[in-house]
Amino acid sequence: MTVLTPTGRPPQEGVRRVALAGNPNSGKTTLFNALTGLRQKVANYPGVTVDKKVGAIRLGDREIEVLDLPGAYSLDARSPDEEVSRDILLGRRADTPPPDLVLAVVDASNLERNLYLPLQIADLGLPVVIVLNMMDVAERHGLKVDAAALAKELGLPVVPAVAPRGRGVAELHALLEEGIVATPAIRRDLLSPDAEAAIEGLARTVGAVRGLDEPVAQAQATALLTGIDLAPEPAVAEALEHAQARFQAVDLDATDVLVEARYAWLTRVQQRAVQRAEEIPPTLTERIDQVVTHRFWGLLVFLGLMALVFQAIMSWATGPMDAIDGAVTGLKELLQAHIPAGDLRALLTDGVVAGVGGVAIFIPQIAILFLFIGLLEDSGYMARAAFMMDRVMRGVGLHGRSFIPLLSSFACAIPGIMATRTIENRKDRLVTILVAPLMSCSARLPVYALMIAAFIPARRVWGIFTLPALTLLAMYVTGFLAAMGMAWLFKRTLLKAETPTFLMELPPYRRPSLKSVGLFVWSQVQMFLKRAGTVILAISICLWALTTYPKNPSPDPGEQLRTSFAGRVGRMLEPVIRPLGFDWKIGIGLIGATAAREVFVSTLATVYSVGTDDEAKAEQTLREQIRNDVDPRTGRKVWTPLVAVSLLVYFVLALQCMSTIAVVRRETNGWKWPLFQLAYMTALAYTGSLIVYQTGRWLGWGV
Amino acid sequence: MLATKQSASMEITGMDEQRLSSLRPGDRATIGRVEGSGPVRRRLLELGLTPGTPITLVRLAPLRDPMEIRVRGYQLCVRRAEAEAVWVQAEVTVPAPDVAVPVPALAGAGGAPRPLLRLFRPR
Repeated sequence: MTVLTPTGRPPQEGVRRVALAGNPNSGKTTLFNALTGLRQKVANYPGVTVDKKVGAIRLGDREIEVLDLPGAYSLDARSPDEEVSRDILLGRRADTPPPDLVLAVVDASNLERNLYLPLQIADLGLPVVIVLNMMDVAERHGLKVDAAALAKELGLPVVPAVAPRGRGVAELHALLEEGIVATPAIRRDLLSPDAEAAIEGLARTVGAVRGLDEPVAQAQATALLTGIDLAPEPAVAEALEHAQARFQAVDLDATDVLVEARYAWLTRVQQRAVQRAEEIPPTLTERIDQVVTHRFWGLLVFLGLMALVFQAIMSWATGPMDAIDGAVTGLKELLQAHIPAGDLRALLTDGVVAGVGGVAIFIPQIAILFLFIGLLEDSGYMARAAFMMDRVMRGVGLHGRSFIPLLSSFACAIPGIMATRTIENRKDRLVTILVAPLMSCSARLPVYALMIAAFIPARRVWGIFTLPALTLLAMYVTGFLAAMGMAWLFKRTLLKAETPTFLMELPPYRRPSLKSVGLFVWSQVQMFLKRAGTVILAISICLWALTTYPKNPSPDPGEQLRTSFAGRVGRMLEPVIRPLGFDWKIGIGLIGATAAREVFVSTLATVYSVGTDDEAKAEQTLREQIRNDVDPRTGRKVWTPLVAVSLLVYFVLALQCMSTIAVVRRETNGWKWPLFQLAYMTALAYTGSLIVYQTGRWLGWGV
Repeated sequence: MLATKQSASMEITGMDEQRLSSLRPGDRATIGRVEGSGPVRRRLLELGLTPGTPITLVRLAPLRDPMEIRVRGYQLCVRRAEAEAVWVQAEVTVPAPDVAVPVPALAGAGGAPRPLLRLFRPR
């Protein structure tokens, strides 16, 4: 009983590392969950933002490591996911050793295309077991798949399975325990004699150079010819060129011929192993799609679902967020009761606890958004949404899949940016990340509310609208238009992409697995806490220090803030922000707002020394205070409606959110993009406010 | 000849070659060739759009682009720009005796799929 490794040598002791490979939507993740249960960990592959999922199966006293490879259609990689899969299978990733055995998960209801990838993997010389998943779906589609016949045709072991119900799991466990009988790689493509000869020529060199048996050498020759770069040795590269030339001599492309030959063979395999019912009932998917992708009803369903997602992030999250807020306050009080007043207490309560609270406060929104994304993705709807929105997003050079991350960013950019993982194209994803924070998130709302309530007169417009409501709407529209404009610009300049492509499968609808969705939500929350949480905590402690030191003996917290480092920076900032209509007090507020936008309101309250015992009253007082604040030098009011509008525009466009910066750093693997984003958004906000304030002054509006 | 057995033995009878992008919902056709070179073309082939493969244009997105096609028993959406490069014969090919053309699951004897609600009949 030998198991062949890529080099043709038998491994030392049975199967220890197994990888799950398969097309997206083949039910691979559900099978992974069924095999490993909670014994799994999600991390990141170093250097790329592709989730690495590793689990374990315990078999008696042995533990087998199971790796869930990212979904792929082909090893001729076109996305980061596919690149990772290919590199691991080729043993080219230093962080992940190649598996001893590959479980290739295929959708039994869609065999031809699903089998293409497993055959490529077998060509590398890796032992492959076909997991014939979704047998139930195939049956419903009127397909009878004969696993034994399939195994005979493919020359590979085949295990039928229905992953959501755990069918096939016991068989797989048994198979792993016993190990598998080596199935020598065979080249199976239907080729003409000339093509055969060309491949055999290459295979002889491959076999000689790499010391492989003939069948493995032939398979690897195929892999070489289909462009799955094996980093060939010089002699092999030479033979490869020679073989390619033989194809070219008769005006054929080697890859074309091999892809076609493989499909020709797969068509034959399918005809021998799959029986089709005479009468095939229209599938449920087809009937649902007639409504859900319909020109009118489809859009209505989509808008309804998006409204639900948006509503959920906005309102369902409030309860848990209030609870987290309450817990943080409670913790603060507890510390205040037990630790004597002083720097340590202040550091703990205002720095550490406030920072932890600032991290935890995002959990409800992240969990809710990913719950929906998990459900929509698992059920197959997400692909329909992308199908419908693609034309809209393409207008600015983006992809249908960018829509949901951008929409979620209206609630909060953090989950929105995390949700860009569903976008395969790296540049499209990056552009979406860069513009997502321009969508007006819920943290801007307190600032909008304060400014509008204090300075925008409640006048009626056209009978049914009021000026404050229209102003609020204008903020959202401005943010959205800015996002679209910047996306358009980035796609044309900085992140100019090659021909935009959009080849996406519309998978059959299926009932989402609650277990899978639950594990997905959990892993997302966990990753946010681990990666972004630490940065947010660190920054919030720094900000605390900036507003606390140097100490001021005055009992008035306003005085303390005014003389702190932050206060001094605010004053130093004044000449810079003067052209926007902002004075040094607003400057301090802006520094406070780098922690999170809503902090602007409480910072301003401290600067104006407004007591904060009663929140409603405090806000009222703050409104009065800023309305009546007079600049002692000029004798003019500090705040005018024009200043308020200028400030509103600044808040729409500026990236004042350390959590976003932390998440972008984590999602793009470095500081380059978050810093660029901070720079461009600050420049945009500054320019926007400058234009608004200066034009307004010139026209004499709202001064 | 170096061609595959399938395409070597396949006789294409349909005369009117047209672009995939010019098909209308409900139209059936057979893939002729995929123009151009590079990764997009390669991926189209690897997704099963090889010469001789029957396809059906299922529907267009609400804004008429992208389009949804059924190929080898699954649904794929393709933008018009990519569909331009795919040439098809709107008529069925005559398969060689040993390589029957697979019938897509949904284009079988069942006829047009029953709509969920009569109101929403597709175009």
